[in-house]
Amino acid sequence: MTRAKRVFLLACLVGAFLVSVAIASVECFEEDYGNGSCATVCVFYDDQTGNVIGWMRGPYHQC
Amino acid sequence: MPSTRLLQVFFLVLASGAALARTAEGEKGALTPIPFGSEVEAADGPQFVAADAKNRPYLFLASLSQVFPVLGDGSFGEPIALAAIPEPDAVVRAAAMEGDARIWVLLARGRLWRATVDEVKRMPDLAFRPDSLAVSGAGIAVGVLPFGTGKGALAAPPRAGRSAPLLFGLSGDRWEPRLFGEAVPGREEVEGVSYVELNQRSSLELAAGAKGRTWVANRYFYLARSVSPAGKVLVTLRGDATIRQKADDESLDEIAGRIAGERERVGPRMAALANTGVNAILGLAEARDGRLYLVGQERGGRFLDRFDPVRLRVERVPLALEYAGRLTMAAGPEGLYLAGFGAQSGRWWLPWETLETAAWKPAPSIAIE
Repeated sequence: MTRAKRVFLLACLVGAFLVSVAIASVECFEEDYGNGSCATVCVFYDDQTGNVIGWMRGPYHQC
Repeated sequence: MPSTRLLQVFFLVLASGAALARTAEGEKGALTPIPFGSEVEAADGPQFVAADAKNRPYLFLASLSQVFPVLGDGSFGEPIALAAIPEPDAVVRAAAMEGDARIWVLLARGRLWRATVDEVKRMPDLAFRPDSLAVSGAGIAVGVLPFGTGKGALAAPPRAGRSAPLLFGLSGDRWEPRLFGEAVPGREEVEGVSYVELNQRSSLELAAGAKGRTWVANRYFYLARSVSPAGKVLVTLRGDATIRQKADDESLDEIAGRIAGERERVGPRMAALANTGVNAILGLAEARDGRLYLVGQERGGRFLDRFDPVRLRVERVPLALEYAGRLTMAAGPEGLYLAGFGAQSGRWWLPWETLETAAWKPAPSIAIE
């Protein structure tokens, strides 16, 4: 398993933990900044208002 | 049936009277929206209100994958069951009706789906992350954030530093950029606070307009534009461009702290970023007469703005609404309908009679271009 995949999975686990303790849901995306540079970003949402509460950005990795 | 119609008129008069009475009690001249559809209050998950091509309002409850007609007395009719997205845990972040209550476009997990009563089909991927959507007579419009998905296809992908598409329209099976916004960020631009700013400056709320136009409003500051199907900006309503930030918010600090606490597990360079931006525009809808209704908020609370495209005027009335999150709105035959994002957050309507007799005043500092 690559470092990027490990980070992604761990981010998802952290997200699941946060969702379990707050009225929030999380979605993780790969963001592509060009030149083969990507990062995993998890977006935290308030499920009642639809507002974005915050983000968690992983380290850069090769796309 | 005549008796049903009489009952609807009775409830309408009753509700209008109640609204007027409550208005008198609340903030001077403030409109108080009336709750509707309480019989499915127990439903969870997101909700979206929309009107069909015949101006009839419907409420889509995403967790049930059901569309409820909203009747004249504020109750629901028999629901229409849509095919569900084949990802049970996916939260629908945006939904828009394609003129017919049996056809909806949904945004979930960064992907777009077209749901009907028979099937749900994934739509072509976008090159940028979708965040909002609307369906006008000219088709589907999608608001995007300036972050590449590494998917989709663009004839000429914008490079870092160039303007990124803000709005896409679907042409056949291909997404075409209609409106441009912030510069595409490179690695150096997405560090720290600028990532938050990029999100805040690019987040939109969309609404369908007449003649295939789309209303494109910025979520975190007052800017609303009417955009033609070809991407031409026809009207701009420009207010305060400042993005208001919460000074301190315990819940944000708590979440940021929890993320930071897990940083060692996920990597030393993991960055936790709290969104302190306050929504300036909560939702908007165009009525059949061409007027735009827009719910916004400022330090004093929520307000309802009305833009008259004939008289070229923006008028404002305070809104006695506690809810401060994202809204979907629809103009129906009886009034204006509002739905908070979560089905538990509330849904309300404002009768046209109440809106027509409200104490509208010129909206301060809104320039019409």
